[in-house]
Amino acid sequence: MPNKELLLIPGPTPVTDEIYDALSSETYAHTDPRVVACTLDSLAMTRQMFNTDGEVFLIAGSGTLAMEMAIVNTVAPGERILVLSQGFFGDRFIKLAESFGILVDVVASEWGKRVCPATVRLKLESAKYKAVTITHVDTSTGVLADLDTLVPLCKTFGALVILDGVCATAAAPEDMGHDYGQGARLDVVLTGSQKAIGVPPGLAIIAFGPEALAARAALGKVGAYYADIYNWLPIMKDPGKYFATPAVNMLYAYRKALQIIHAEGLGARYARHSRVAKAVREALRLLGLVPLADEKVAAPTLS
Amino acid sequence: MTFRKSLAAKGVVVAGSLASLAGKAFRLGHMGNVEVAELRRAIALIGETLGEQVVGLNVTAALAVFDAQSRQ
Repeated sequence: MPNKELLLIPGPTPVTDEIYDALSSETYAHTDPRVVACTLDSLAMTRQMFNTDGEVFLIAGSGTLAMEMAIVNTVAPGERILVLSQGFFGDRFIKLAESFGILVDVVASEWGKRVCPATVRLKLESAKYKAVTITHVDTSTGVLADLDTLVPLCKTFGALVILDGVCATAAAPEDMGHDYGQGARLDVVLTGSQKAIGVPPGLAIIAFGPEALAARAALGKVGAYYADIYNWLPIMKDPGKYFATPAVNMLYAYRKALQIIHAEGLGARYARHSRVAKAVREALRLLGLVPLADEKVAAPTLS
Repeated sequence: MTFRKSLAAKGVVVAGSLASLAGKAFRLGHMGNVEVAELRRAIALIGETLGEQVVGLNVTAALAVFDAQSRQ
């Protein structure tokens, strides 16, 4: 199916024929061995993409569901989180967390700019935070978060680092094995299918590293049912088991998208995004347009 | 808003902006499996659409820069 329009909004993004073909393949039972194999394949390739041995979950839902899962499975009501916001979607964590009785402090930047690390440090010194949320690329402003500075800073104060990769995964490095300094690593990475992964909307994707899983264990009970990773853990281990019906056709499409991503190579894909983003902005500047974000902090995924 | 409508009529869909930026900016996605040739076409059509309101835009120069910088 050739796309009739050129869809250049920051998600959903243009879907290739291969992915449409996978998406419109015959629907089998969610417990069918072929669907089980597709799910296991997809989980393995997701682990590869995030470079994690942790637990990965593929759940029918939007990016916001993944945000909710990240928070409710790591933080208890009454505990405090620090939201680092560089736009509308950074801000989204505030209401989301407060819905669960979690206390929220915020460090927000002016739209188009990054948060000030010195301000973040002062905040981290002022209170005990269970977790800090970082929006890798905020879809509202096109600002790319400075993970190299923020991740080790947050880990120094013992907080879990939750990375919202919805508008960044498969376009910018999200390496849960990467040591940002003194053992500082990403604890949770969450994303959605409909941006740089190249699949239509419909899958929430989230990975929990060892410290995040330990946090879930310590919580015991959580104030969620569909979003509780403990309800999904047995399913992700054996997709032939049932908790709630998975988005079967979305998984076909997602597997195909991951194959495409790994065939390109993560490094090559990240480099392509960075190069093309700069080229787009340079060309648009020549047309008299001014990007909101300074080139130093501008995202590889949207302008 | 007329800009985005005009551009959409030419077959390119871009996004408006949120909150305090509404009406003042548009957002352009350039991620995933979108092809360089498609982005080039979008730049040409953005140039054409802007040219309906602004004189003296050098779309050729913009495309040349895009071609040079998007190359590996």
